[in-house]
Amino acid sequence: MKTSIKAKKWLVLSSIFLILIGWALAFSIAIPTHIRPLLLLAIALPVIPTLIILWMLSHSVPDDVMKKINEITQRVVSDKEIDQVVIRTEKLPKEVLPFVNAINRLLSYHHDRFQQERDFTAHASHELRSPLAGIRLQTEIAMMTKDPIQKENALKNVIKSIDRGTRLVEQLLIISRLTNEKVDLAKERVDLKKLVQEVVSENQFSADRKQIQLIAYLQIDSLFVEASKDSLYILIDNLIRNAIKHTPTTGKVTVALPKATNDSSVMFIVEDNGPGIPAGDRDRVMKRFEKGVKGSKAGTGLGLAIVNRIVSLYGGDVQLKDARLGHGLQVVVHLPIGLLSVSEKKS
Amino acid sequence: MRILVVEDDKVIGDGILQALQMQNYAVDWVEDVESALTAIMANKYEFVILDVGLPDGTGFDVLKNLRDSKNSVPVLILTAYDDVSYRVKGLDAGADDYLIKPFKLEELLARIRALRRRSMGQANPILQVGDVILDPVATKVKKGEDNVNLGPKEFAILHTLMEKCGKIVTKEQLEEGLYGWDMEIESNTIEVHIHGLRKKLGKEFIETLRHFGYRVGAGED
Repeated sequence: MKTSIKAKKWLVLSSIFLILIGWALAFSIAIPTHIRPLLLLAIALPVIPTLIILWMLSHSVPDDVMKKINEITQRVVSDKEIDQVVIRTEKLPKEVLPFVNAINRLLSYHHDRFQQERDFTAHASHELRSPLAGIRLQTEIAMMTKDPIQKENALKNVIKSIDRGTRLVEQLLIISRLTNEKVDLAKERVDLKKLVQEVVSENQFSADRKQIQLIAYLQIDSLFVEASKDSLYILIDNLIRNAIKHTPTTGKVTVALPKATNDSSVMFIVEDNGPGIPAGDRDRVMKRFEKGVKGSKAGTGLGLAIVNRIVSLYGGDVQLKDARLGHGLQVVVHLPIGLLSVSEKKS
Repeated sequence: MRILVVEDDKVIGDGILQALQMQNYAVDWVEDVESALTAIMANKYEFVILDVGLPDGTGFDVLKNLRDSKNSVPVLILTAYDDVSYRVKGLDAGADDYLIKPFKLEELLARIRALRRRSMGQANPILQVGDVILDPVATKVKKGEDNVNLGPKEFAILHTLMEKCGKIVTKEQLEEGLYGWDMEIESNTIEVHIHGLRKKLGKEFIETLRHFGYRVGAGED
C-alpha cells in the first residue's frame, strides 16, 4: 500500500518536472516567438490529463486497500460463544494488525463495561428483594394478628427492613456515581480532623446501641487538605459503619488520623475487634456485592467496594490487615493528597 | 405438622415463623446449613422451607444431604434469584416447589398445604372420614350438615389423624406436630384434646389403641 502511494508521488513530481523542462526549452532555444506558446501547449497538453487523473487517484483509496478494508469488514463477527463483537485477526496483513488490535481492545473494553453494568443491575435487584420480602411478610402479620404486642413487633420489623432497603439504595447511588467514567472530585479546603470528628459523632448512636466504644485518636492541630469533602466523608463513614456492624456488643472500634511522615499524603486507620477477614478473602471483599461471610445477608456488600473506589480515584491505596491485638480487622488508607501549608490555611 | 424453616435473614425468618405459628403449625427456625442438618437429624419434619443463600453454604447443600439420605420430606425453596436457571437447578436438586422473594404469605401457605397433600397422596384438599369433613384451607370442620367449632390444637390433631386415615398415629407424632422447640410440651395435652374432639365428634370417631396411639376411619383404608 505504501509503495503504490510513493510511486504516484514520483509520477506527479516527474510530470511537473517534464512541463518545466518544456517551458525552459521553449524559451531558451531560438524558436520564433509566435510559435513558442504553441510548442508549450504541445508539450503540456498530453501531460495535463495525466496529472488530473493522478491527482484524483491520489485522493481516492486505492483498490487493493479498499479490498483489504472490505475483507476486514467481513471479519467483524459477533462471537456467540463469548457474546461479544470482535474482528478476527488470523491471516490479516501485518500493516493493519495494529489498527485491528486497537479496535478489538476498544470493543472488549466496552463489552466488559456493559457486562459489569448488567451484573450490577441484576445484583442490585436481588439485594433489594430481601428487605422487600421482609416488609411484605411483617406487614401481613401486623394485619393478621389481634395481639397488640405481636403487631407492634411486626411493625418494628417493617421499619427495620425499610431502613435496610434505604441504606442499600443510598449505597447503590453512591457507587454508581463513583463508577462513572468521569468523576468530578470537587476540590475544596477540608479540615480532616473536624471531618473525622463529624463522622464519629454521626455514628455514636449506633455504636452506643451495641455498647461499642468508638474512639478517635486525633492530633491537636487541624489538618487541612484540598480534596472533595463529600467523598472523604463517605470513605470514613463506610469504614466506621463497617467496623461497628462487624464488632460484637461491648466491643471496641478505633479511628486514627496519625500525623503523616511527610506533608504529601494523609493516612486513616480504622480498627475493630470483630471476627476480622481471613487473608484469602481480603481481595474478594473489596469487590461489589461481596460480603465477608459468603452468602450472608448482613450489610449491603458495597461498603468496602465504595471505599476502594474512592481511594483509587485519589490514586491512593487501602490495605486490610489483622488488628494489632487479638482478633479484628485493621483498615489502613493512604491518600496522596498534600497538606496545605500554614500560609494557604489563611487564604 | 412440624415445619423446619432455614433462613438467615432475621426479619424474613421471624415473619415466616410467626405466620406459620398463627396457622398452628409447629415450627423450628434455624439460620445456617450446619444447624439445619442437626435439626433434620434430631427431628422428623413433614415440611422444610429452605432459603438458598446461607452464611455457611447454600440451601442446595441441605437439600442434597436430605435427598442423599433418602429423606423425601417436601422442600420449598425460597430465593431472591429469579433466573430460570436457578429455578431449574433447585427443582433438579430435588426441591418440590419454589418461591421468589418477596412473596405473598397467602401463597406460601397455599403451597405448603398443596405439597402436604401431594406428599400424602391426595388430590382433594377436603378430607372426609365418615360423616366428618375437614377443610384445611378454611380451617373448618363439619359433622354431617353441622359446623363443629374446634380449638386450633384440636384442629391440628384432627387434621393429622384424618390425613393418616386408617393408620395409627402415636402420641409422640401428634406432639411433634404441635410444638416447636420454643414451646413447653404439657403432659396430658394430647389426651385432653382427644377428649375434647370426642365430645364434639362422637366417642367412637377416634379410636384409642392402648400403648400404640390413635386412629380414625379404621374401616375405610
